[in-house]
Amino acid sequence: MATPNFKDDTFLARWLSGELSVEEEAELRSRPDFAAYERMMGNLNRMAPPAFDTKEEFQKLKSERALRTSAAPQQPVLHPRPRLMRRILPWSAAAAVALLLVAWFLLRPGTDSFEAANGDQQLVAELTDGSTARLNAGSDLAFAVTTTERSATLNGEAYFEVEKAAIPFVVQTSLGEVSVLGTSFNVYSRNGEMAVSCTTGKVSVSFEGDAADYPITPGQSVGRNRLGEINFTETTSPEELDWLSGKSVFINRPLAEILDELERQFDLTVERPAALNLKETYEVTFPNDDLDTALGMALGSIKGYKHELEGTTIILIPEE
Amino acid sequence: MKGNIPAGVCEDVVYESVYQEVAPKLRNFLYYRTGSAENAGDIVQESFLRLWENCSKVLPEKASAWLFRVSENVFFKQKARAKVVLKYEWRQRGPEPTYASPQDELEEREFQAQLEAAIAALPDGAREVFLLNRMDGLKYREIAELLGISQKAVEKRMHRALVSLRELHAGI
Repeated sequence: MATPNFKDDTFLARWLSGELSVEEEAELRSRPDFAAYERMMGNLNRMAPPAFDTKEEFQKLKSERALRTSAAPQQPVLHPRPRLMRRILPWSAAAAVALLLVAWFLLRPGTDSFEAANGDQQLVAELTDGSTARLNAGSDLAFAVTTTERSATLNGEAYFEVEKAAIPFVVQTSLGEVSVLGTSFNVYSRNGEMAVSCTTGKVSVSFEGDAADYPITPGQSVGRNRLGEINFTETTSPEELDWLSGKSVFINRPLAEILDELERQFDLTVERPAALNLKETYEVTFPNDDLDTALGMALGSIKGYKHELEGTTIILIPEE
Repeated sequence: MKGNIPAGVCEDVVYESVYQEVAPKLRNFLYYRTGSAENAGDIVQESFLRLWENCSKVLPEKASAWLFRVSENVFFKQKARAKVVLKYEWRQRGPEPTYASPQDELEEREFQAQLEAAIAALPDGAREVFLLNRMDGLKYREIAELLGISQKAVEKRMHRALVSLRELHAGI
């Protein structure tokens, strides 16, 4: 079978939406595989997903909603006989104390935790103050509101949309912190490297062990690399907000970092041969939802190696 | 004068109209992802319950994208994910096709079975976009807004879906 060879990667999409020019349409119709596309689309026109009864489903939703909103006790109330009561009274007192302790621990500042494990694509954390955080794969976040601040502790990478409030929203990472009142911004903090990009509002960044504040405005990024060098960039580069649109973009980044991201996005282990130069830089983009394509794009450009996927391990094999 | 502007979707009328508009699309989207109408229905319900709990924070015009995001979240939190097996119903559109011979009919059934298998084998992202466009008739721009991706990305997924279907379907 001839490999499909289209002049661009949205060609068939534009055919379906009727946006091809007359010439393009003629070109498509002269292809040997056109009949196959046309037949598949013909069949698809006659297919439909199972029916969805909106009215009935809405009634179900309403009754479930009523159940949850009424403060009805979760469990039936127990009425033990008096004798039994006497027997368990000391124990229940102890249990009550233990329960109070647990409740105190859990409710103290009301910490919520969120985790996007390796292989998860994205997790949307809805925070109690109405803000949201989108976590990239391999990241976790804890959130608590105190009287003086809204405190989010991040490991990894997340995009924040912060609701306006009187007390600041502070993102703490092991490498530095970001403080805002209401805005949206991206924080990357992994392997000794931190970068913050601002999309709306105003953001103030400080790095661990550095007393200075680095304010940035929309379209600006500030980062600190492993050597401690601070970099300002005027435009938010595609590398930083790439993952929000479901892909990973690297522009002249070391191979080690690319392999790390691949492991996080697809929950894999990449075996790294000793002879492989992990510091060599590459320009690579891969989708976060399509393993085969991602492997081809991320590993295809490594010269002298081919790759094989065995279970959840990728093995790089030197070519003869 | 205050409290005149209805905020969010807490008004019953607003909430219900959001449901009527978004629930069928959301259910189908989740069906294409999970391959289970029952599971998809459960996630739709859970997402709308969360919308109710957060009704004052979500603007009506932002509700559909919000629901899609939350539903993905609910989906990701489910531990076991079964292999996607999609079943379709036939649209009542015109008379049943007639076949010149039993062989033709057999061949057509085989073609259809392979097409369905090929759709199920598409990557999640491509399958959802493809079916939302083909089955639910959503425009690329609408899909892009619901999923929070660019229209270009939607078009690329559509193109890729077709090319992969053709490749997966090459057996015939």
